[in-house]
Amino acid sequence: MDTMLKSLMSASTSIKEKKVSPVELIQMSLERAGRIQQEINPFVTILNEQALAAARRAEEDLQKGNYRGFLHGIPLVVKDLCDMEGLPTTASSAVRHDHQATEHAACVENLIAAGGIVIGKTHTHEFAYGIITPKTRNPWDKDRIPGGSSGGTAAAVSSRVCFGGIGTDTGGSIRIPASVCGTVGLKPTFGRVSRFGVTSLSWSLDHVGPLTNSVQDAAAILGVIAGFDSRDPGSAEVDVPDFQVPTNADRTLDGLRIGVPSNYFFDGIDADVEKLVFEAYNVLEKVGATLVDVKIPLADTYMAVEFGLCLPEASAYHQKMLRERGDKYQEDVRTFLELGELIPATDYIKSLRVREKIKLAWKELFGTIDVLAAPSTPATAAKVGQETFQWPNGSEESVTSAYVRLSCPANLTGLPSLSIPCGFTDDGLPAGMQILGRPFDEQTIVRVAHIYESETEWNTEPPNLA
Amino acid sequence: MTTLKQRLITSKMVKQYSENIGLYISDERSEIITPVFEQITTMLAELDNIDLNDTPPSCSYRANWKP
Repeated sequence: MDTMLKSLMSASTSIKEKKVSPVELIQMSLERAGRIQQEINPFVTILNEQALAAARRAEEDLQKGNYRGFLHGIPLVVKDLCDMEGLPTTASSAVRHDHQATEHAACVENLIAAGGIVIGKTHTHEFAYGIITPKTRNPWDKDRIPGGSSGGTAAAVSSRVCFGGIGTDTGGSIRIPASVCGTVGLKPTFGRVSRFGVTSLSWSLDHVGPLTNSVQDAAAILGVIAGFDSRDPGSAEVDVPDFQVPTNADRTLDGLRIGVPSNYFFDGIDADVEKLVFEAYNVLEKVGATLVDVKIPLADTYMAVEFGLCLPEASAYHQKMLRERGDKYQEDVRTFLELGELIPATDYIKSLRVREKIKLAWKELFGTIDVLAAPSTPATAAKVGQETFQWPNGSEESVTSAYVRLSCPANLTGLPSLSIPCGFTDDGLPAGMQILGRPFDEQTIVRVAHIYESETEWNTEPPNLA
Repeated sequence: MTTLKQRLITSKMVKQYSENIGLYISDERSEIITPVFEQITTMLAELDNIDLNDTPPSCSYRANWKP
């Protein structure tokens, strides 16, 4: 089997057992990256020389018996919002044409310390402010978007260029591209992973997390990047457990209560996606879970609060640059940044107050369930240039609103949420289901998703690329 | 419950607000921003329907000095 088609953990074992060398693996990855770049364009930069040099060092270390852990020699990618010392962090924007990072972002630092090799920096929707990632295409259908804003990472991971990558999620930007590109995407609890060195979109909503081709791989990378960091004011001082499911663990969900939303998540949804998510519920029930119908509280406030927080925070971050380089922003981002400056402080604070109510209401909701399972996105990948979705009930919704609507509850509450592939629609496009859990209980959502994945294996089929 | 404010927004107002905060935008940009701003403010006005009483804002700031 082509090593690049294996899971991260499997490739890691091959390196440890010296069946494949770090140099061989990085060469395979870079060769594949070069090919995929022509078709899909996930990368802002492919770090050919830097990655090969790191691979040679990893090989020497291995020969000397200095095995640095499961990421030793493993090719990874990072969204180009994450600083890497000596490289520009472009945020896929002309505004950043002269940027140069002076040190690594915390997540990059941790990946490298664990032996990982970053082979490239991936495209984002400009400054992560959107869900399209216009420069990149979807590996399952090149006429479709990869989602965003971590679309480059999702496209690279889905194309098996690498074994995992880093994304950021402010309103769904890990889970949306994961869902429409058929990968796993894990947005951890707010504060679990340091945002130090990661360009911010919205300080109170931003999260950093992994995208991979399996749940265990996402859990493993989370274990590397998680942990308190005083350089990030939102970082939480909590223990970092082993997020991976032990190989000898029971493959049942006996006694676990899974919330099935009766409102909001299915209020506007493609019929094929809805069917796949309900089939996933059946799988979860079959392995022992108890499905509990739940009503999502304060649902009609989520989009207002998401925008009420994100718009002013993003505009505050960009205030100076907007005045100095306004004409260098893309039209959609510039519009959001300009109007974000006009939102009254009282509306911003009101959004924060409603957010507190949402948090408390979700705490109560989780009194009756252990996790919530819902569609990650209400539709598969939109076509390039598509502006709206038509729902079976006759209503129409903008692509941005549709994708963010289902993702933003986890950003507002800060709860962990993992998107996992849950099948393919008739036109061959992947759909995703998200599992949301209690604060800092990533272990439970990982366990649920891992057992579901083991039962279905939707993640094993890569897209058909050259 | 009625909303606290019904906001009427015109492109002229958007241009004026922007200038007040040192953001000088063209008439053309003001025309582009206005309908989007209107959508957002309508959405935000719906939050007036939530009974907040003394609910404090959900802040992430922590004052501890521990490294």
